[in-house]
Amino acid sequence: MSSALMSSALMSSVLWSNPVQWAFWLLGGLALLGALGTVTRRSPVQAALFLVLTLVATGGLFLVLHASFLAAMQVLVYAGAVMVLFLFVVMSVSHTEGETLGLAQGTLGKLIGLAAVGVLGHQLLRVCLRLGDGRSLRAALPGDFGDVRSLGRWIFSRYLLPFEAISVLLLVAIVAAVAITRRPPRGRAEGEG
Amino acid sequence: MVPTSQVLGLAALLFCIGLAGVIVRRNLLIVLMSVELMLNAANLALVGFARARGDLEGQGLAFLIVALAAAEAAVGLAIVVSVFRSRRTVYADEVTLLRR
Repeated sequence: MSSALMSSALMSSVLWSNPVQWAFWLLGGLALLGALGTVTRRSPVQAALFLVLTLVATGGLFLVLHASFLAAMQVLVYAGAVMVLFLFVVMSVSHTEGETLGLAQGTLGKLIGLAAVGVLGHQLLRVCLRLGDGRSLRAALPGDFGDVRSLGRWIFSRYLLPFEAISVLLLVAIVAAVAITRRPPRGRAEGEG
Repeated sequence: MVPTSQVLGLAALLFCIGLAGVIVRRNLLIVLMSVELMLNAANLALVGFARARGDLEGQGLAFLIVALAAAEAAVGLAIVVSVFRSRRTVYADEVTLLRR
C-alpha cells in the first residue's frame, strides 16, 4: 500500500533530467543503505562504520539542500568526533560474541515492535506524500543561504539563549561522563563480574 | 530543486529504520547508534523545511540538535562503559540487577 503510493508519487513528480534530483537520491540511497547496515550488522564495529556512511551521506544531502555550514558541521562533529568516540568505546568494551539476530529469541516482542514501526512508517510516509511537491517552495533563495555568516548572525541574535543553554548542557555532559565512568575508590567492592 | 515531500519521505524512512534498531537490537552500543540515526533523520527533516520555507529557522535548530546529539552520545557511552565495568556485558537483556 505505502510502497504503491510512494512509487506513484515518485513517478509523477520526479524530474529525472534534474542533476540535483539525481544527487539527492544517490546520497539518499547511500544513507538508507548505511542505516540498514547499522541496524542489521552483528558486529558493533561494522555497524559503526555503516553509521559513518549514513552520516557522511546526510552531510552531502545537507549540501544539496543549501545548508553548507551544517554539512561541514555534520562531517566534523558527527562523522568525526562522535563516531571516533563510538569506535573507541566499541573497541574497548565489546570483546563479547555477537548477538543472535533474527526472530529466534524474543519472537513476540520483536514482531510487535516491528509491526508498530511499520504502522508508524506507513502513516509518516502517507502524510509526507500528501504534502505534494513544491508547496510553498521558494524558488529563489538568497545567495548566502545557509553559509557561516547568515547562520551565525541568526544564532547569535535571535537564538542566543538556546545557544548558551546548549553550551551549558555540553559542560554538564562532560562532567557527567567523567563522573559516571570514574572508578570507585579502593576499599569498596569492585564489580563482582 | 528537490521536492519537500521527497526529503520528508527519506527522513521518515531513516527515522523508522533507527526506531526499529532501538526496539529490536539488544546490544546497547547499537541501540545508541540507532538513536543517533533517529536524531539525524530529524535533522534532515528540519533542513528540508528550512529549504522549503526559505528561512534559516530549521537550520539553526538542526545546529542545536547536533550539539545535543554529541552530549547524548557522551553520556550514553559513559553509562555503557560503567555497566560493562560492573556487569561485564553490553546486552540490554543481561542487565537484570533490578529483577533480583
